[in-house]
Order: sequence, then C-alpha cells, then structure tokens
Amino acid sequence: MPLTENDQQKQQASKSGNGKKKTLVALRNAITYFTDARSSAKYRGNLNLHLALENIEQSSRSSGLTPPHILKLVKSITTGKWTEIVSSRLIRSLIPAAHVPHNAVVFAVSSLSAKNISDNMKCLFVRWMVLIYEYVDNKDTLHSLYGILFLFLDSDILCVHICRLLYLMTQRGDVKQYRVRKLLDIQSKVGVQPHIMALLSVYKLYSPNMVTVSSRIGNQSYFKQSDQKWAQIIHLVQEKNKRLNEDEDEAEDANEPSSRALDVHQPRKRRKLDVIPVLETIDRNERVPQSVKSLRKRMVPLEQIENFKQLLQNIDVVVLPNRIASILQSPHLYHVLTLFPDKTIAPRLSYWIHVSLYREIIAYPKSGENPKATALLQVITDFTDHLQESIPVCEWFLNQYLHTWNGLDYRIHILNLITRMPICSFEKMNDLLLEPLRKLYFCSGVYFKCLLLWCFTELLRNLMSVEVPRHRRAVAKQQETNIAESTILLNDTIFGQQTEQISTDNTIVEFINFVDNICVVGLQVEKNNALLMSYVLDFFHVTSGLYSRHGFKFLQLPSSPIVKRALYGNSAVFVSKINELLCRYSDEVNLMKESQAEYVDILKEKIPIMNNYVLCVCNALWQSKAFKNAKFQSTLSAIETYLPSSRRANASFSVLLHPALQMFVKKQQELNQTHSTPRTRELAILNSLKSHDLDGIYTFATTFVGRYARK
Amino acid sequence: MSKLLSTFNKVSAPNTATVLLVGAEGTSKHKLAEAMLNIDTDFNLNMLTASSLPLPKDESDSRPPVNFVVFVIDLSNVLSMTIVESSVKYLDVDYFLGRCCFVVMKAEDPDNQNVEMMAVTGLSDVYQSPMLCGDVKTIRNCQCLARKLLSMVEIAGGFKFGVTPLLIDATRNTFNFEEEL
Repeated sequence: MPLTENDQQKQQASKSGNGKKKTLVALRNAITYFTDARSSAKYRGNLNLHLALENIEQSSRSSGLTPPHILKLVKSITTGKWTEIVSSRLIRSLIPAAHVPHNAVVFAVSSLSAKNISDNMKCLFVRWMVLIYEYVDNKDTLHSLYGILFLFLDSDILCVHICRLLYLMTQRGDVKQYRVRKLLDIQSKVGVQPHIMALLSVYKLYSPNMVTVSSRIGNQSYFKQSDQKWAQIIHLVQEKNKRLNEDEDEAEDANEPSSRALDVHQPRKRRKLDVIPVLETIDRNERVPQSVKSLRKRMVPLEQIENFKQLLQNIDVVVLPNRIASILQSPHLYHVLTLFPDKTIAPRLSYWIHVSLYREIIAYPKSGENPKATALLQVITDFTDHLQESIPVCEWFLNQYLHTWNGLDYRIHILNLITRMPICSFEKMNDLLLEPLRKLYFCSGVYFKCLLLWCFTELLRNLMSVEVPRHRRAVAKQQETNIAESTILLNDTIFGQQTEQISTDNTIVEFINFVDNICVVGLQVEKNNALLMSYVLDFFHVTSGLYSRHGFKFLQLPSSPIVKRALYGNSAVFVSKINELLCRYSDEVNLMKESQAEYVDILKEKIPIMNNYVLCVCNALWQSKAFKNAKFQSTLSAIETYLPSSRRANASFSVLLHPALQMFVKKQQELNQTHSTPRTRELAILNSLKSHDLDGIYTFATTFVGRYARK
Repeated sequence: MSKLLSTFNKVSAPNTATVLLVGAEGTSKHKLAEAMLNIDTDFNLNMLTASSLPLPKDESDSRPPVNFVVFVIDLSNVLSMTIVESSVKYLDVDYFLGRCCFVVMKAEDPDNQNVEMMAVTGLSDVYQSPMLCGDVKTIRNCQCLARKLLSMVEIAGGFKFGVTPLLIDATRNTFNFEEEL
C-alpha cells in the first residue's frame, strides 16, 4: 500500500511545514544523485542509487515532479550513463505535477537519434511523450520538431508510438504531399496497419484533397490501449494537484482546465467536448521571415474578426481556419464559405460531415438519441438552409439511415433534412427515400403521418422552387455548350453536384401521385382524422400552384376520395378549404387555357375530372341534389319509397343543412328570424361564414354558382 | 402439407388476434411480446412464441389460428438468421399478403454485425413482406417497435374498417432499381 502511505505522509506534511520540507530535501538530494557526474552508476549493491530511485518514484507518484526536476532527470537519462533498469524506472517516474517543460521534451527527442541509448529506452521515451503531450507547457516548440519526429517513422520499433505522437501533434500546416507519399510507401512495405491508417485519417481530415486512400470511417480505436496504468497514475497526480490548487487559488485554477478544453491539438479529446471544432486559423508553426511577410497580401485570420461589419470589410482577405468545419459554428461565417473561391473547401467540408454523421449516428453504439448528433443535424440543416442546396453526403447518409430508421430517433431533424433533398429520378427517389418512409407511415400513429405529410409538402415546395429551376438552368447551359453526356454538372452549387439526365416533370408527377395514394389510404386508416385531413389539404394547396407559380406544364388534381371526404365530412374548415382548393385549380386551368394551345392534351384529360368535382360541390351545397348523379340512384329511390323521412337525403348536404355548417347556420337563423326566402337566408349564411374566415365557400359560390356570381 | 401454418383452417374467436413471434434464443422476443401485451388495444391480443417453425403437431386442437407472424432476426446472431430462413418456408402463402413481417434487431451498429444487412433485405424482398428495424434495449424504443407491430396486426386482423393489408400494399411502387449505397 505505498500510495496510501504516501497520502498519509502528504497529509502530515501539509499539516506541518517541517515534514513537507523534509520530503522536499530528500527529493532534491535524490535528484542531485542522478545529476551529479561523480555518482556511481553501479546497480547491484549500490544502496545510494536504490534509495534515490525509490525516493523519486515515491514522491512522483504521490505529488508529481516540478518542471526543473523533470528537466534535470531527462538530461541525466539522456547521458546514457545509467543502466537500462534504472533509466526505465526513471522514465516511468517522470510524472509531472502540473506541466512538463518543453526543453525536457526536446532533450528526449534529441535522444532518439543518440547512439548510446538503447532502442527500448527510445521507445519508452516516445511512449512517455505520448502520455504527457497534453501537459507540455509550450507545444509550439515541440511542434517545430514535427518534421524530425516524422523521420523516425522508418524505425520499425518506434513507428507505432511515433505515429501516435504525430496523430496528436498534427496541424493543418503539417499535411504535406511528400509526407502522405511517405506514409503510403511505408504502408506498401508493411501492409495496412492501424497506426498508419490513423495518421492518414488525420491528414485526410485536414485536407481530404491530398489523401485519396479510403479509410474505414468510424473505426475509432486505431491504437491499442497501452500504458494504461501509467496514464492512470499521471491522471491521478494531476487531479490531486488540481484539487489542492483549487483550495489555494480557485480563480487561477478555473482558467487552467478551460484553456485545456480549448486545446485544438487533440482531435480525440476535442471530439468528446463538442461536435463542431474550435475555430483556429493561425498556423502557429509558420515562421515567415519579415521580408516575405510584408510582400504578402494582408491576411486576416477569422479569430481576429469580432463583428459582422468587420467580416464584411475583410471578406476578401480572410484566412480560412485550419479545420473547415469550425466555420459551421456561426451563421455569419457561412458567407465566407459561399464567397471563397477555394475549390478544396467543399471536399474538406463534405468529408467532415460524412465522418461526423457516420460516427455520431450510424455507428453510435448506444441506443437512443445522442445529444451531439442532434446538435450536428441542427447545424447541417441550418447550413443547407443558407446554401439552398443539399449536401451530397447528407443524401448518402439519409439513404443509408432511413433504411434502418425507427421513425423516432432525431425525428424532426431527419424530416428536416429530407425536405432538402435534391431532385433525382423517381425510381431512385422511391426506392431510397419514399419506400422506407411509406413503411413507417403505415405502421405509425396519426401524429407521425401528419409530420410526414408536412415533410412531403416542404420537400415538394423545395423541389419546385429551388431544385428543379437549378436543374433546368444546368440543362440549358449544357445544351448551349453542346456536350452530350449522361450526367449534368450543377454549376451554381458549392458542392458541384452531378445528376443524371432525368425528366424532372416525371419525378414531380409521380411524387404527387405517390403522396395522393398514401393520403387516401391514410385517411381511411385514421377514420378521417381532422389533423391528417388538414395536412392533406395543405399538400394539395402547394400542388395547386404548379403551373402559375412554378411554371410546370401540367396539372395534378387530388383524387376523388380526398375531395369527397373533405366535402361530406363534419368539419366546416375542410368544406371551406376544399372549395377554395377547387377555385385555385380552376384559376390554374383558366390560365393554362389562355396562354397557349400546347396544353390541350393535358386539359382534355383533366378538365372532365375538374368539372366533375365542381359539379359535385355545386350539387351538394347549392342544388340540393347531392345524390342525383350518384351511381346508387336506384337504391336511394328505393329507400325513399319505403322511408318517407329520407326524402330530404338529397338536400342533406345543402348549405342550410350540411352537418358541418350547422353551427353557423343555426346561429345565423337565430339572429335573423325575419329572412324568409331561402335565397336571402343563404346569402346571410355566406356572409356569416366569410366573417368566420371560412371564405372558401363564399369564393366558390361567387365563382361557380350563377345566382351569386360576381357582377 | 400439414406442416404448413395456415390462417384460415380454423375458426377464430371473435375480436381476437393471435400473433406468433418466431426467433432464435436470445433475440429478446419475450420482452417484445410483453411490450405488445402492455399496450392497450381494442381487441384481445394473444401472443405465441416459437423458436422455429414448423410448430409441433396440434393434437388436442387447442391452438388458436395465427393471424400474424413476426420473425425476429438479431444481426449479431447468425443462428437467428438461419432459423428464420428455414422457418419462412413453413408459412402458408396467405401470410405473405401482409400478415407477416421481419423485425431486425441491432441494425444500428454496423461494427457488431455478423449477418449482412443485404441478406435480410433480400429475404424481405423475396417474400414481399415488410422489414422493421428496432431494438428493445430502452423502454422508449421497445414501445415504439411494439406499437408499429400492433398497428400492422390491427390491419391484418381486420379490425380497421375498410382497410386490408393489400390496400396498404397497393400504395407501394416497385421498380427494379438497385444502386449501391
């Protein structure tokens, strides 16, 4: 139980200054033993050496060593004077109390090329550096050795640990073509190794344009967990010192962890903290001579910009951050992205989104929602909103994820992403997007059905107003340049998407038909649910503007079950809405008629259906012959003969008797007892409905019913 | 022939649906069955579980007719897949008109899968029966899955007025379209 004893010692020491002084003196003496050139390096039977070693081990494990002590010990070890056992014990006890001086690390690195130190010791040194990397006080100095450390990759013994160290150290400026080539050379020699892949994946994260090799995404454990015990001791000592310091000076200590939290050098550590990386632009390692600097254009790193006005003034001289994804943290910075001419931005960003989506959602090991994934999806939705284009990797992600989606996790965010999907052929859209959603639609509750219909409405709106015009422009441009290719490059996008040559009209028509179908069956399943009906009619509200608002050369009418369910239902809102919808469609037809003759075929096909609907509404509401044209006329007349009270069946859906309008009609009749003729009563009711915002019925009457037509 | 499980060879009790869960040991089908029983429904729900098909011969004729069959596949368990593949053959063709479905567990964790997802989708395509992904690890997810199954059972059992599984199936578009994900 050496640790607990030490704890007790420590406690006693803190109580009495004397005890503390004593241990300090003992430690100083022990270290002097190792720094003194005259000390004997003999291991066997050398009591002084053993005492000093034990002393150092004990005090380092209890409270850690101060920077000067670490420096002295590292210097002493690098002389190569001590036997391997002593050296390894010394290296293992190099546990920092608070931080490690950078000089010590530089000495350790220089020892890697020394001849008098065994390979095992070199290896141990690198392992030590990996462990204490987080605590080095000036990482810039260490980082300037990046190139030298990279050379040690050739050593078979050191390679794994050097890779790990470089994995921690790599900054954007370090990613160079010759380094990538070197790594690939090594890989071709020793085969695919996880540590090399790790380093390549970091390189790819910083500049995916340089690393073309495909790494397995989502594999988080590149490195085996070695030196766990050692790391644990270091961590414990740090925690303990932190707690001690907190008692002494709380304010000072509060700065310490936050500065560490903002440390951008550790992708793994940062990933634990936040999805979006921290903004960092300045390449700390870049040492440009003053003369060159003055020649360069004045560049402004993003961190120095404080407000939007400054951003506007400097937008042409902004330096992009090291990790492009950090731009996603602020909507103002999106502008930088859209204005920047650099071609590498899109692949860098795509790669990051791809990796993050995979890691946080698809390969997320626990069931249930991951809060980081929610934040990520939100950011991506905001970003696509700003760009007004979909990101191809999101498409890929949705295609994969929807297949296994349970309809519950991240529901709103996923639906939001779906609404921003680009246009593609209907076959593809159906199989990858609509079919999984259809499955969920029919086995979920009415609330999900409504959400999905909302999602489809927004998707249609987006397709019609953004995606199809973009596609048309691209096609027109391609025809201008006379390139006969099967793919079309969408030029006015950041991500430079390619799409197939498809008939956008066909996709839209088929999509509307699909939604129409699931609406009809959905209404039947949910027994005419009011909420669902409302979403259904909203969808067709958007569809009714296909020609006039979006310039499509066709007309898509809702199928008759939808119209009749709304008309004969018991909600006044839907009666009014369906009236309004039919008016919108009739305007549409009139516009098409006026413009040109090329729509004759479409109109020939659609006008009878349209007329049928209008007639249906007129008969029911205004002519008191709701069932006159119905197929079951004979049945109805049979019923009427035997059941005299059912004579009024035909009139039961007139304005005065419609069950949905009863509330307004009764109220109106109570108010105006004097109105005697049906005509005046109907007029009064129309005005009353209009005053209740149910003006669909009024509009319909003034459009189609002769006696109320506008003069 | 007698080994085939059939829907219509017995008279069912009024307002009752019987669901058969088929899955290997360790596919947590009992947990799923419990979750389904815990949800209030308008009809009486009977749950049967079996580790494979065909079922042993019903000597005393005490077994109710099965309205809906759920196959449970655990992607980390190869045996569960092979059992389902061999069991499906013992279902009468009526079941494939919307009276059976495949439930896939552990679909969200690609690193721990021993069964290819493509194999399961292939199975679901061949038998034209829907495939649901879900898990029973948390109460929320378990209930979500149970509700979905129940809504399918309700339609298959004929408890929804004017809706049949075939009507639902009619809304599906099929294309011979394949693209690598």
